[in-house]
Amino acid sequence: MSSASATARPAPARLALELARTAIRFPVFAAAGFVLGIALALALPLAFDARPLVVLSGSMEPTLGTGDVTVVQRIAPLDARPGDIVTFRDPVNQDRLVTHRVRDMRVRGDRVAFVTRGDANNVSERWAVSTNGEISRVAYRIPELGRLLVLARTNRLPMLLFGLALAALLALELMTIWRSSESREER
Amino acid sequence: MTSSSQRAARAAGLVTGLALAALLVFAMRVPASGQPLGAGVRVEVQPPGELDAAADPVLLSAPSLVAGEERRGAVTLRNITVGDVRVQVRARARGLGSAVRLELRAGGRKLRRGFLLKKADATKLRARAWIPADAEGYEGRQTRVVLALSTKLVEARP
Repeated sequence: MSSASATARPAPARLALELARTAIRFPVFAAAGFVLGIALALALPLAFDARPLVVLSGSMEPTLGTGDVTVVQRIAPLDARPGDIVTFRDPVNQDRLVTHRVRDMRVRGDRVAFVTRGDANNVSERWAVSTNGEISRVAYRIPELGRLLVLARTNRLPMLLFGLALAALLALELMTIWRSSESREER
Repeated sequence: MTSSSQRAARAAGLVTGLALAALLVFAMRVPASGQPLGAGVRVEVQPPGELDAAADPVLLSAPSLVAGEERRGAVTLRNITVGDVRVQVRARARGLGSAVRLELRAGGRKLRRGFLLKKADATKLRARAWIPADAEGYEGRQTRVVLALSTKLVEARP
């Protein structure tokens, strides 16, 4: 019913709207890029014999915090050096992985004997692994991300996902309304 | 023009986000220590009753010897017998790989079998352990050398 000339906004107003849209889009896409980058930082190492692990205790504070995600690279035991932070099977409980710093290592025949200790611990652990065995060395960490992954194991996650889906739906709806008003103006 | 600026904003946002993620990963990397891992070398002396040596039998101790490095050590031996003695050295080595080299000297001479120690005389038994610069495969290995000394009285000539 109403003509385009009657509803069209004046040029400065349109420019302001355009700037506002750009100002909103930039951080939204920056956040998306950041999330994508972090996802790549966790997924890409899988192709190179590395894997992400969640730090569940504070034994390596302040170097590794509880809730950090570490990406560990598989290495031969002889490639480790004192000072490296390595991940190995707990000598007491083989089902558990431990990430501690190497304090000393010695080669005895076909086995490498390690002395490791968490930076925040005052007790070392002694363990040995075959020279052909495998351990992992921490390559990098992503602070606090592990808390999200731990959350995935609790029943708070479905609530969080539901909230995120709702927010995404709302955002989509708003964008649709925005776009339709924009196309009406242009017509 | 509008859509191109929107596209530019999206692309710039995406690139900025990716760059921030890369920056975070770079800043949070845990570099390998790079600390050299040397070979442990320990040389001990087992003197017989005819010789008086220091209470500490360790002639040389190098907990982390790396390629191109050397360590020296010495112990004073005194002849406490009534005559001259010929001191024989027998080395028992455990874990001595080809990478670790050991040289013994007594009285300023390189030791091959033994040396003569005159009555009431003292000499320094010196050891030098080193790993050649081009050696490989010594990292983390432990070497323990025990020098068992034995003496034989040398009969005085008339």
